[in-house]
Amino acid sequence: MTATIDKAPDPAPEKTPRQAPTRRDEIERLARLRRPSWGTIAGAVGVVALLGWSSTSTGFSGPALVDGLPHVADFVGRMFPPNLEELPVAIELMFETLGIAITGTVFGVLLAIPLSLLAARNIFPQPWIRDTTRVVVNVFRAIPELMWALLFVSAVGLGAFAGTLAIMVGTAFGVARLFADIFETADMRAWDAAAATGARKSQRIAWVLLPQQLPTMASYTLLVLDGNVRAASLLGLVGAGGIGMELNQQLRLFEYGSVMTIVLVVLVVVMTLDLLSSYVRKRFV
Amino acid sequence: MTVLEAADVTFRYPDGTQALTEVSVGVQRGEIVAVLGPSGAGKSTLFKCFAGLERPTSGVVRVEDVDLAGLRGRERRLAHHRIGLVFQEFHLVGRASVLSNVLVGRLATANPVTSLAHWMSRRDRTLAVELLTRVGLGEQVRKRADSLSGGQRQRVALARALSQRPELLLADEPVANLDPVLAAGVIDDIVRMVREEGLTAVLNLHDVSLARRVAQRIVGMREGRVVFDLPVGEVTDALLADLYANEGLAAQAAEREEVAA
Ligand SMILES: Nc1ncnc2c1ncn2[C@@H]1O[C@H](COP(=O)(O)OP(=O)(O)OP(=O)(O)O)[C@@H](O)[C@H]1O
Ligand SMILES: [Mg+2]
Repeated sequence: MTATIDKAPDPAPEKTPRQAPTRRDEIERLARLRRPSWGTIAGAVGVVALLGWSSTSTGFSGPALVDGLPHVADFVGRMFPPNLEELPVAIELMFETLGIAITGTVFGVLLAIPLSLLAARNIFPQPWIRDTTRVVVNVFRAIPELMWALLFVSAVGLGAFAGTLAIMVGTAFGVARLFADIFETADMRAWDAAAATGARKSQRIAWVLLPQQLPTMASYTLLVLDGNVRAASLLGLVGAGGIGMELNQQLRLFEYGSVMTIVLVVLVVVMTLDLLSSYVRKRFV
Repeated sequence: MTVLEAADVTFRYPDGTQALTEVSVGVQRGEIVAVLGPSGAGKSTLFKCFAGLERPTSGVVRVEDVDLAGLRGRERRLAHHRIGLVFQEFHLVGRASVLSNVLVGRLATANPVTSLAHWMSRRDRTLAVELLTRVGLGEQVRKRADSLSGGQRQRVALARALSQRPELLLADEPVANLDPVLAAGVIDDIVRMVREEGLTAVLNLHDVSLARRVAQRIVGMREGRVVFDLPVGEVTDALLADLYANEGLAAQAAEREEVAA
C-alpha cells in the first residue's frame, strides 16, 4: 500500500552520459526513410499475386466491366418506375421475412446461452468441456446460413419454417462464441461471493452472471438481428421462405418494376431496423 | 463452545510466498474478535482459510467441528452456507436489485429449480426485506445495488451474509473502502446485528480505534504469525506500537528494492 506512494522515477543519472554527443546522429537516424524490409516486400508481392489469381479465377476483367456498363444502365433503367401493384405482396412477404429473422434470432440466442456457458473458461474450468464445445461451435459456425437453409429445405420442405430453422442454427453457433467471450470478461467477485454462500452453479448463473451480462448480450443480439433480417431476405433464393422467393420469381419473369419495389421495401426495413437497434443499443449500455 | 478453531495453520501461495506460519486461534460462541496487523501480515489469507476459500498448506481449520477442506458437493455447499462473508469491495451484483442481492444468501437452501426463475419462497423474501429494514435500507429494497452509496452497499452485503442465517460472520476489512465517518456507522451496524442475531464474528480491521471499540478480543498479526491474542482491556498502546513498528520503514525498503530491480 504505502510502497505505491512517492514512486517518482529518477532516471537522471543513467541518461545524461550518452545524451549530448549522439543527439544529432540520433535525430538524423530516426528521420531517415526506412528501406522496406524483405518481409514487407515479400508480403506485398504475395498480396498482388493473390489478387491476380482470385480475379482471373472469377473472370474479373476491366474491359468486360466497361463493355457491360450499358447493360447495367439498361437493367437499372428498366427497374423504373417501381411497380406499385407489387407493394402489398412485398410488404406481406417482408413481414414473413421479419418473422423468420426474429423467431430464428430468439430461439438461436436461447440455444446459444447453454453452449456459451459450456465454452466459457470461468464457468466450466475443466479444459475438456470448454475445448470440446469451442471446437464444435467453431466448426458449425463456419457453415453459412444459406447452406443451413438448403439443408432444412430438404429436411422439412420448402417454406418459412426451413428458413427459421436455418437462421436459428446459424445464430446459435455464431452467438455462442460471442457470449462465451462476454462471459469470460465478467467480473467474478459477486460470483465467488455467491459461491461462498453455498449457491449452486446454476443458481449463480441465473442470479449473478446473467443479470450482470444481460445488457451486453442484448446489444449483441440486436446486432445479430440486423444481420439476420438481411440473411432472411435471401433465404427465399433456395426456397426457404421470405421475400427472397418473390424476388427470385419476379427476376425470372423479367418484371423489373416489381423487383425494384421489393428491393425498396427491403432497403427501407433494413435501414429502419438499423437505426432503431443502434438507438436502443445506445440507451441500453 | 468453540465455533471457530484454527490449529497450526500454515499457508503458502503457489508462488512460494509463506503468508501464514503456524497460526492457532480459537473463537468462542458469541465472541467478537478483531484481527489487526500491518499490510501483508496475512489477515486476508487467514480470512480465506477460515472461510474455506483456501485450503491450508498444513494444519486445520474447523468451523463447528467441521473441516471444510474435507467436504465435497452438497455437504461443502451447506457448510459454506453456515459462514457469512463480508468483503472489502462488497462483491454485489451491481445491476441487480438490492433485494435480489440479499436473496442470493438464501439460494443454498431454496428450491434448486424454481429459484432459477428468481422465484423464492415468501419466507425467504420476508427474511430478506426484514434484514434490509434492520440495516436501515427499508426504502432501498427495489433499487439497483449500483445506485447506492458505499456504506449502503456494504450494508446490503451484510444483509446478504446474515440472510444465510450463519453461525459465524467473517469480514475482511469491511470498511477500508469507506470514509472514516461512514466506516464507524457500518461497523456499528455489523456489530449490532451480530449481537442481535447472537452470532460469532471475526473482523479483519485496519483501524485500531474501531477494533478497540467493537471487539472483545484482539488478535495481532505480523509477518504471518500471531503476535498477541488478548482481551481488549489487555491490549496496550505499547503492544500496538510494536505490532505496527517499522511498517513505514519496511515499505520504504520494499520500494528501494523495486527501484533497484
Ligand atoms: N494471491 C497471492 N499470491 C501470492 N502471494 C500473495 C497472494 N495474496 C497475498 N500474498 C502475499 O501473502 C502475504 C499476506 O497477504 P495478505 O493479503 O493476507 O495480507 P493482509 O494482512 O491482508 O494485508 P493488507 O492489510 O494489505 O490487506 C503478503 O506477503 C502478500 O504479498
Ligand atoms: Mg487484506
